[in-house]
Amino acid sequence: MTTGSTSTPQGKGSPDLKAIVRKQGQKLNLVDRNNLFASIDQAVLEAVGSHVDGVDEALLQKITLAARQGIVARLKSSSKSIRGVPQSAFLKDVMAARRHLTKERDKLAQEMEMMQAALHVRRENFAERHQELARETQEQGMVQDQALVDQINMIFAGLVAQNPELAAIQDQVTSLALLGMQQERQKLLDSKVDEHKSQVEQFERRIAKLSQSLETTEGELKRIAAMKGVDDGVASIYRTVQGLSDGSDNAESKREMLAVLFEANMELKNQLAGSR
Amino acid sequence: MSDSSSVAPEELGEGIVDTNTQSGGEQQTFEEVKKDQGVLYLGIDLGTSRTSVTASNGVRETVASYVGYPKDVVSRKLLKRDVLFGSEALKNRLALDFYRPLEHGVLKSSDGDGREAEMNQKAAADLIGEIIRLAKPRKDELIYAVIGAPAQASINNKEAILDAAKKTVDSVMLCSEPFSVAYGLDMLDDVLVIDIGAGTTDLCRMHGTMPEDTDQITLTHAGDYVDQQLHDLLKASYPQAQFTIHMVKDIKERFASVGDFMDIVSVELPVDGKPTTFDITNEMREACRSIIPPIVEGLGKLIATFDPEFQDRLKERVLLAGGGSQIKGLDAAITQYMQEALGGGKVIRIEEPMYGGANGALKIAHDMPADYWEQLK
Ligand SMILES: Nc1ncnc2c1ncn2[C@@H]1O[C@H](COP(=O)(O)OP(=O)(O)OP(=O)(O)O)[C@@H](O)[C@H]1O
Repeated sequence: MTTGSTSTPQGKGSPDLKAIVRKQGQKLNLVDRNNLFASIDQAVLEAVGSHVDGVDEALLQKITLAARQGIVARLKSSSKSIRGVPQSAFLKDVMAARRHLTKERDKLAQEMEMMQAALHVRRENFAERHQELARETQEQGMVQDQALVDQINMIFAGLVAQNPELAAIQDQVTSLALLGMQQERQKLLDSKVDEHKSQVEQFERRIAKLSQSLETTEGELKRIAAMKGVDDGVASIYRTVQGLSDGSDNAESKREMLAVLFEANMELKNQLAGSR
Repeated sequence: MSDSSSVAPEELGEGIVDTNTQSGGEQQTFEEVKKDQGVLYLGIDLGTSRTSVTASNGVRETVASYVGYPKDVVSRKLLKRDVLFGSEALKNRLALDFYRPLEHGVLKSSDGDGREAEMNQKAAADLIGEIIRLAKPRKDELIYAVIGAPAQASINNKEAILDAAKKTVDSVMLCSEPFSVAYGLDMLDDVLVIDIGAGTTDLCRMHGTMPEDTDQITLTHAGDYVDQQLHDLLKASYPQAQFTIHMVKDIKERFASVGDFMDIVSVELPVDGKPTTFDITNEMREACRSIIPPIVEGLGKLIATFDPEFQDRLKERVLLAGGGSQIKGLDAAITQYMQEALGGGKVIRIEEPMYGGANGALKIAHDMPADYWEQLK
């Protein structure tokens, strides 16, 4: 009699041990039927006897039966079952859980290794790229700045000739324009760096998540490993040392060969002992 | 409380009572596990490419004979283990100090000295520890193991194997691989065993007693040799195709065949990174057949030096074993070649080529008398 519950995946799909217990569980006997019914009968008899004189036997039987059914129905709805688990079934599932978790752990570890390698490469690439960008920006900046200065010079050339006082304004305009230009360039550079940074952060978050999953899986594995009985192994079908049976085919020649094999191993053992 | 006195489930419904109605009446809880001492037998086949165990608790496991140790602290932290085995080691080999400790049928360089030799021995020891662990032995059982070791293992090799096994088992014996195969099949008299592994093919003549050195021939025409042949033939036929020896081995394991009318072998290989289909039927057949002549030549030698009266019988009782024997049609092809070259022959492929050695070793372990085990402790 099972409750029909199936194991529900936990976390990254590892079988839930509680669910295993629920599924594989066997219920224990809590109530002795005869005792229970005897008690009900007795209680009915006492209750009726104390209120009514000379009750009809058939009626008493009907009341007793109704009381039995009523109590059974109530017990049914309010009782709790206690479950035990047969060891072999439990171990089988625990081993399956362990295999599953080990696989999961290996997969995670591998994925993490790949992510870390990718992150490493990306970081290096970005660092290189940033240097390059800064250099490019600086080089291009110099050309752009020069062009800007030339443009302004051209615009002001005639004006300053007419009004030398305008030279001071030209200087101001030039430095303001250069500043604006440089700020724009810096913004562009910063946005590139930010974009790279967010990519790296994304990687880091993914790695942190993987590492968290890995830790959880490791924890589960440790918990399973610590479970009593899990590493007890599988029992041999033999309780005692066997040896060749007389009735086996070629018994005589086999016995001879086993003796020769034993002698050879004895000799090896002595030889090794002697050489140590 | 017995079943008969409990309230019937149909009376009380689910949730109250019901004794042991599911799970076949198994009632043991953890606390009640009996601590009876039993005897666990292990049959282990220690091979260049693969190490297998079959055990008297029904467990059978195989692990590729690769061992790896994390190269540095970072790899160790990442891999979360001090040692990795089998395909897992292979997969992570870039982060590992990687060993194939049984290369070419013996514990690699265990006769030499220096750190490399030491590490190879450690790797072999760890591999043996791992295969025993995979057999899931119980702590409260006696463990007796027979290890089928490469026929040509030296005394140092054997010492390393024994020392490693003794860490976990109570008593251990070594035997030669072909012997365990023959013993497992109850074919002990006048039998020739061909055991095709990765690095070596072992030919062994069995005649009722333990085979001696003169009963054995070791050839390097084995699985790796076929891989190399196929690799070279493909390179010659399709120079534009890109492939590695590992890919070739995979292909071989899927399509190996020697028949005149074998199925067409059509595979996809990259050309400039683009998957392209090639018909490699002829190359496959030729590569797989390349091991037949040397094997038959070796068989011929073992037959010719045998008691003339029993030579014909020997020819008719040839067992084909080992992972490399899974080439389709190989038994028939060797039979045919033997008939042409040696005037007779009959080759029988064993049922479980991959577990033949381990199964036989398990049978030897089972049959070994108790006092032998005691004396070897
Ligand atoms: N389906 C297959 N068809 C052909 N060859 C195969 C197949 N499966 C595995 N092999 C080959 O079998 C070889 C491994 O065989 P096995 O596992 O018996 O070797 P081993 O015992 O480890 O090696 P050795 O005997 O040299 O120590 C490899 O070369 C592998 O490519």
